[in-house]
Amino acid sequence: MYGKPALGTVMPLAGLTAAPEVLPGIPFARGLQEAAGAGFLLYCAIAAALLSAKFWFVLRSFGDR
Amino acid sequence: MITEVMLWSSIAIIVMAGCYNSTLFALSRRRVKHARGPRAERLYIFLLACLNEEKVLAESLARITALPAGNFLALVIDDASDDRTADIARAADPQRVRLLQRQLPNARKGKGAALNAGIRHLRQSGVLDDYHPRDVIVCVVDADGRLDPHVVQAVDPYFDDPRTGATQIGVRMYNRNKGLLARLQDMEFVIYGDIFQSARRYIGSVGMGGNGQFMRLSALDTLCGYDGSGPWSDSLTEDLDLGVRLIARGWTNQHCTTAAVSQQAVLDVRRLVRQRSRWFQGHLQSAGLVPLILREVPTRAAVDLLYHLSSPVLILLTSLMPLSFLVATGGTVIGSVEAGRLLFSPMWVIGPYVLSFTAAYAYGWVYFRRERNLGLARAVLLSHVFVLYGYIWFAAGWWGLWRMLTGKQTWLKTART
Repeated sequence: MYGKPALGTVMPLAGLTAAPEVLPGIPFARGLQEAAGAGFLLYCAIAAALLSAKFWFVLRSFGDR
Repeated sequence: MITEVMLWSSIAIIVMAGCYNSTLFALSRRRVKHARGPRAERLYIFLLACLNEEKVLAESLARITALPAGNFLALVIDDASDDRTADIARAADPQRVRLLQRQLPNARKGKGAALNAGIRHLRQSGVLDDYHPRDVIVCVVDADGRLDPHVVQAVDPYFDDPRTGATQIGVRMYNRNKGLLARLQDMEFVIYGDIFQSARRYIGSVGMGGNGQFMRLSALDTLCGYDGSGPWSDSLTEDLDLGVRLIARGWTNQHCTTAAVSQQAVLDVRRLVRQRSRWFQGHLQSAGLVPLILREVPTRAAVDLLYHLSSPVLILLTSLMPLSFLVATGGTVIGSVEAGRLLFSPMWVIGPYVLSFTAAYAYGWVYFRRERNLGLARAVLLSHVFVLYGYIWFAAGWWGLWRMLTGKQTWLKTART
């Protein structure tokens, strides 16, 4: 998809883990980034399952030969 | 602890995408050797699926009929247009241009259905009778597509390799001088073609782009269903779907960097987001290809295609981060004003810049190689804007997801100007 170059170039708040909670908006900003991180963990779990399925197909076709 | 893990996981998305983009950039710089088979004289057929294209069709047909190639013809598939599309096709060179008029209620079922009707029509008309399907090359061109004059000469050697099922050429914007938005779209297509598509030749996962895609008829035949259905699906991104299914059937997809088709850039942000929301929705629909990829596609190409098909999910996830950045920056500025001193470290500026804009230097250099008159410094500056332009995908992504969840499937055609 043409949006792929955009994937590696978003602006995260890399220092957010150290940001003081008392600043206005920081808890909300942190929540947004946590939601992205949680989604990515789920993505990784599904990707791992799909790759396992792929390797199972590869092994099965190798065995058939 | 869990909070920390999730925060760093979000950074990991950018690191992963950055590593992927860097690897593909490195791969794209390598030269490709092509396997060659016996040369053959081939018939080239240009298919133009048209719905109300009177503003752009005449120019496209003029370009096609003027191609310095021997054996070719164009088929205009008029998908029940309300305007003069059919008249324009009739007025073109009758030796080179044919017209298929579809009528409602069978028309306007999407681009895939129109292209399938075109292939059926060609078979029934007897045009293909004297040719073996391996020597017939079908090219899909958008109605606003302006092919480079040397396109047939550039693409033809790829089909000397009998394994080549399809070849995608580059895509440019012919109105790229009409403002920043048009220029950024041109840059987007150049970067996609010259980095991502070029690199995917080594991985075996080159995608098809819907405009300027050349396919061997014998390869298309392998995609036809037993029920008589044609090679194209009814997906909103039938090009993506077709490219993946060709790879799954064992064909090789190629990307040609020496010829391009130029199309009209969208000059309005709202229309651009709407166009991209359609592509995004189609990309989401293509998740149905995952079982086929797992079963049929070689491992290396399969891994890349799975990443490619899952990129909409990553786009939706990463869209939360610039929002987070904006909210946190706003909060920090307000907090600094209230406290009377700066409350943020310079790392808050340097870190996001490095993570976000390092790629801009590579993108700028790649674009400069196509547009020398811009100058390297301007190209790099422009690519910084391009990074922010990429955020259009975030709006388009949520819109496309909403359309999918609400069951909207209509063809959101981009209006010509």
